[in-house]
Amino acid sequence: MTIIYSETEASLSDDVCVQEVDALMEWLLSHPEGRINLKLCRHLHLAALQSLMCVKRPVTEWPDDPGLRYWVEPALSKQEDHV
Amino acid sequence: MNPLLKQFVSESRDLIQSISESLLLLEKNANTRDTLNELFRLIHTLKGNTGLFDFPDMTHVLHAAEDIMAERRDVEAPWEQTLTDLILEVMDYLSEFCNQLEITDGNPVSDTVMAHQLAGQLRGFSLSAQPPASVSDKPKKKPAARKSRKKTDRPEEPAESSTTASFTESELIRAWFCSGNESLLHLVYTPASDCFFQGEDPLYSVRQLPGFVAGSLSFQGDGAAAEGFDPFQCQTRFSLLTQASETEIREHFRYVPEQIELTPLAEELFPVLRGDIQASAVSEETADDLCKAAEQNDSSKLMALTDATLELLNPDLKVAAALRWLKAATDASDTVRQQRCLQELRDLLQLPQWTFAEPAAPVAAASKSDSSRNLRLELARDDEDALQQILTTQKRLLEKDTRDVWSAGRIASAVNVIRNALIAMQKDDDLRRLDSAMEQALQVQPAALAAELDVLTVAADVSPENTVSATATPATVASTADNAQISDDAGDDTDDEESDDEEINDHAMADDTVPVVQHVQKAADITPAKTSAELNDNLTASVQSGSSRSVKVDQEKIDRLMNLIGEMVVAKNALPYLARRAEEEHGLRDLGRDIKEQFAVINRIAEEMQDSIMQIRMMPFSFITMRFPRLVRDISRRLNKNVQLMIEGEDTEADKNIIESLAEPLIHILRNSLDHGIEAPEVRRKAGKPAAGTLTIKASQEADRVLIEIHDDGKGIDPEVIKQKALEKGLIDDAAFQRLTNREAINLVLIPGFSTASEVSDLSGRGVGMDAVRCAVEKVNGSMALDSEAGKGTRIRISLPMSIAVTRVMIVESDNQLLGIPMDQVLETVRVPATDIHTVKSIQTTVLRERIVPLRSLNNLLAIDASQRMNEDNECAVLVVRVGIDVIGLIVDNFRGSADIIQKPMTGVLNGLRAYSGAALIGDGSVLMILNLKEIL
Repeated sequence: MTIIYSETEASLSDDVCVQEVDALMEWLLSHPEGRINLKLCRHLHLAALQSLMCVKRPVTEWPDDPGLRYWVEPALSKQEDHV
Repeated sequence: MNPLLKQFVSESRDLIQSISESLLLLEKNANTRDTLNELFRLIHTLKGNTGLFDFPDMTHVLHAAEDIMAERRDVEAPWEQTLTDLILEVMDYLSEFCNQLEITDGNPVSDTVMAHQLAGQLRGFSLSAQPPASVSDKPKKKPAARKSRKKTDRPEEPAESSTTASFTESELIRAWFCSGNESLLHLVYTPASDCFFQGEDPLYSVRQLPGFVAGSLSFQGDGAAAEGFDPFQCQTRFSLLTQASETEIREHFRYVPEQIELTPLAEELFPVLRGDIQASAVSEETADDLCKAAEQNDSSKLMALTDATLELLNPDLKVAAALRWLKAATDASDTVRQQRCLQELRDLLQLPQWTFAEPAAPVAAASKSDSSRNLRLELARDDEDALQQILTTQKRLLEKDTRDVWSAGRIASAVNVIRNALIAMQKDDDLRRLDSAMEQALQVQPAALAAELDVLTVAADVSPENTVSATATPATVASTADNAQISDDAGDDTDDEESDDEEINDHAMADDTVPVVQHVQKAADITPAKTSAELNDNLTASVQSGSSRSVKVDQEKIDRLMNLIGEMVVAKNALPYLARRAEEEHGLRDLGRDIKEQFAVINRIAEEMQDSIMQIRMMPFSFITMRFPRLVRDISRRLNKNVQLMIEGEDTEADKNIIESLAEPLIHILRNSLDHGIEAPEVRRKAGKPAAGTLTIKASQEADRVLIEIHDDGKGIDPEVIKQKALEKGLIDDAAFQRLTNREAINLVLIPGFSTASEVSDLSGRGVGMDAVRCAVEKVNGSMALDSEAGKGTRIRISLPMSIAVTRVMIVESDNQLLGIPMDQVLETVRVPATDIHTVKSIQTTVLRERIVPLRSLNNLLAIDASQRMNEDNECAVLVVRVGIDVIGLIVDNFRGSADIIQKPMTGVLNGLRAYSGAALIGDGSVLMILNLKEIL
């Protein structure tokens, strides 16, 4: 498992693959206040990123991986404008 | 391999088989709607199944096939034979994939290139040549981060080139200078909405893009209700800038060529200026000064002037944008672009164009000497702003009380953040200093890190527009904060980020505390429970939805059941012995009778049980014949022959082992018939036969044997040719050559080492020939006969026992031992008076039904030193058996009736005793050896 869920936060790590998207989406929907921690994440499958973009949750930590951060930060931070 | 995967493999094979069948049906009956529907449904099911696992290649190919089928189903179009070929090829690929799955235990090494090739070829059959519909035609406008700037755009302004619209100014500036003189490419990548099901990860592809300069993504699902959102529909589109060549890009996206759109970014597009127009924003003198400085190639002066002007300007103005571009050009000491920026600037200010003189020798090369500073200068301003903020926040964090227990963790996390920031900014020198500072901070005094941070903050602060002032001022916390404020104003989009950073840091602190560990444990507790619940749901669903009444059982389980019932039969057969003992030894007549009664009941149940179990093992003949249509079609197409295959009696059943052992020989026979038997259409027409040859396979049941007849109406076998060949190969001698009848001659092809084909083709005729077929048939106690008429065709008859699990044997007695002889070899049992036995050429013979039968003594054959006993009437017990084509009389002591036994092969040293084919237990618990007559005669 590359995603660890708690009541308040989903911590994503390593390569989050498409198989985990269902569980992630489920968690996101059942935890409207849940936040996202991407610190240890090295890659997000686009389906996972889409889920995150759709639900617009605050991100507590951006990925350490600069390559991934380049993509996810603008994609996920811009949504806070919407909220 | 896990059970689910096992199930998947077995189901996939079934589906592949059904697909092949439907395809052939389709070809035969032309475009029938039902078959098309069925075919589509099958492919769709198979594809759906692959989705359960991560087999992107398989899914990819099947998806292409599904698309094609869906199209064919909806649109009336002639069906091409080549499409059948291709889909069959795809099925072969998938079969191989399934095999791989089994061999590698679920980790197949699949041929991705092949998969994509097949998919590509399939898509070539698409009726509409258009590429799959893209998610949306309009890219979403610029990310919200630049909203403020966008708002001020005036409608009457000429629209900015759509290719550059999705990038920030700093990205564009970087792109411009990154590319040098190479042309930049703008790439719009719109992944298909179902691309995730084909195992694609567009984000990954994008991250691997060669020559990546900048990129942005737009998400169409924005603002949609989260509940109804389908994360598996790709709704994202990428806009990318790359300096790689077009070939490189096309190679990178070679599997989805229809999803990318490449546009070269012409040099003329640059500089891209955004903002409000205000003609009098900069005075003419300043503009002239700038131009002069450029003319003199005085970079530092130009830089200072630009910065000063910028500080006075509203950054939202187009003029300011032009100045920023100018600054970048100056920084890269690119005079040509510098001049272009200046001309643009003058345009904006509605000033006449400046005529640049030949540039003078560089005056201030000093600004270039400091390499690390130079590097920083190249960095885009946005990045600098971000770094600035990160550093400031970290510093604030470190200023907290250092005596508490978390301080070490706090320092570590702060350093981590800074390190990552520095890595991102490629500040290697600073990185090294940071590491040493951290060590110092951890060991001695935390202040060391704070001090280092100060240095870094200032260094980072030397962002281009502040070059003059910042290098001159010493670092203080206050100045850093101020500068951060300034860049906030300039950057216009960073306010949110700051608060974010604080959150990040707060969290970084929490990371070092215990509760996180608890989180992890909790999550671990929850997850398995959830998954098992999910699994249960799935199972119930599948049970409810699947209306299939059949159960797939592993063969081993049935074999075990078979063995058990065998033992049961043997154990049950001991009861009559017990009854007899009770009567004879103990005089308990009543008990004996009771036992016998009980035995009758158990016997009935056991026999029924045995029957049922045998039934389970029974398989229809169609199990092997179902692959024949495909085989015949492929081979006949390859040989350019026209062949019609007829299969009769497909539902004839026989034991699984028998059926399976038949597959190989039958395929061989078919190939032979197609290759050597049936002639080419022209030859056939000349011979007065229909152009299409007929190949008939007929299966039927006869008592406890299955008869299979393969008949072709080809050219048949010429006995003379066979005899000649056999003579040449030394398989027969001259005498035999003269003597052999036509029928016997034809059966010579069954002799090992005989192959009639003068030329070896890849289909048949490798010299293994019919001999291999005969061996395979005999292995399961079958027999075969060949019959042919030149010019008319060939008929092969194979007779097989229906079941090999239970063998019926004749039990005979010889020298006080019981021996078994398979019933299918026994022709009859006779009592021959000793006087009727004659010795001809030292071989004992007798005449039975006007036929001379050679007699052999079993004791003699088994090297038992005893003569055969005769009965009171001086008669010998003779068991007439057929071995191959010979009929032989076997002299034994007595006959003991027949019995059903479960023959077990002999193991260990006994395995070497070729005279016996196996052993079995009989009712009284003793072992019965089964004779292998072929070996001893």
